[in-house]
Amino acid sequence: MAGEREPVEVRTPIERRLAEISGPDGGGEPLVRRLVGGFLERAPQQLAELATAAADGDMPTAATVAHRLVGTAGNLGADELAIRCSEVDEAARAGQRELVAAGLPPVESAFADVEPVLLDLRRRWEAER
Amino acid sequence: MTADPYEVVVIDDDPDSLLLIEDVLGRRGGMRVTTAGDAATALVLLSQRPCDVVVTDVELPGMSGLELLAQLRQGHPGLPVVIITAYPTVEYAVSALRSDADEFLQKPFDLDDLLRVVRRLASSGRERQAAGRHRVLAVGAHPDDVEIGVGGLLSAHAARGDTLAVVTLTRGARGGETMARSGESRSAAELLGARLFLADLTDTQLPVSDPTLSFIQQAIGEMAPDVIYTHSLNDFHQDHRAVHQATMVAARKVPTVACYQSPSATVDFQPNRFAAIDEQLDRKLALLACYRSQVEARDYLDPELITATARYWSRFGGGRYSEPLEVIRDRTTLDPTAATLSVREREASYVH
Repeated sequence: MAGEREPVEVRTPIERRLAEISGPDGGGEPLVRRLVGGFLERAPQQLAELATAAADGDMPTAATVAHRLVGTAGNLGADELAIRCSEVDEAARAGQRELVAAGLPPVESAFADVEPVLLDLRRRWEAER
Repeated sequence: MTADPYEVVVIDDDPDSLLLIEDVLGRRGGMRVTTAGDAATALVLLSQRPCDVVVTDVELPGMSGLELLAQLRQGHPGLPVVIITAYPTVEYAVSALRSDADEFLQKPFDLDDLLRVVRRLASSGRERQAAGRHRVLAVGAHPDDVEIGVGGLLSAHAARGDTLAVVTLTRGARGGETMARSGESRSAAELLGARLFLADLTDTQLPVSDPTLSFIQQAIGEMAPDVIYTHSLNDFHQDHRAVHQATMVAARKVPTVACYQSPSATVDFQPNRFAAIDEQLDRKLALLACYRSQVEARDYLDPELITATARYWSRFGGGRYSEPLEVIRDRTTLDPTAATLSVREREASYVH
């Protein structure tokens, strides 16, 4: 359908990365849960901050927030989200307000793909308790 | 014998990244990891403890990772630094490598790569250090003498992983209760990470010969130092002069011997080497604060005076604070702060 983006497979890279952090002995499992929990808690707030900074034309803040999201998303294997955030980061550093504004919907879409996967993982861990 | 675990300082303002790197290097890699959220905190940590590798993010509050790298190259030459960044462009990698980073990793980094890189750098760094590590003995007549004279320099030696010992020949009975002063000496040595050889000879009546000489000889025999710091002969205090003379005899086979300034130094004290202690001044003041019974009673322990004295000597030694030394002989590379200038070098720097 015209205007619809291609679906991006996000679950596999996330699960692969989390398994890498967890390690073969599962010793990193508590860290995985902490990273996922922290991301689910902070990312919506950071996205809102990013949108506000973009609307206000505050490029330094937009760059800082986008840059931080690149790191945290990358840590969890949310590669598509990290890439979209890095585009916004780069545009904000170059002071390109229009590009920053144009970069926000792809960031939000990428987050919308990632969030349910992480929520699902968290639900599974809670069920295992 | 099991080697000490590698010591790594990690700097990142993102708590999640710190947790991840700490987990990889600490839990998986068996390294001792210390974390900091900014470069200024990291520099303080690095002035206080040995470190095999620094891992730092580029984007930090205040001083950036690349600025930190430049400072480390001045103050800690040879310390391996790994730069990590989430910047997608190659310009940052080029900039980091031009700034002399040992390795550059891009976030999200492969966890095994990080472990491999840090292990390799730590291992090669230790090999280099072992080849150039000093065994340092500081000899003083009374508790607090060596900390006043070379507290900053000894802290610099400690930070680069040198082995330290302090010889104190009396327990300072003239300055207070000896039990308290002994405890203070032990606290200062512990803070410094130095072994303490504490004798109990008679304050103000130290002879040049035995038992002063034999006690110093015994410490030298056990420590096998290649660097010794002691009192200057240019000193009003008879104990200081006696310790100087006894040390000169006992240390006749030690490659490097230098004399420090005491509060009782005469105007004839003529230093010919100056060690910048900018990063160690706070540590020096902390060492002196261990001598609680003396801080209130002795004007010369006033932190303002200690700081002002170091500030004064920096006009010769570079940096902002320096400790002066009369170098008797130097057959090692006596450069623990990497900012030690001889008088001749300093005078040359005035020539335009």
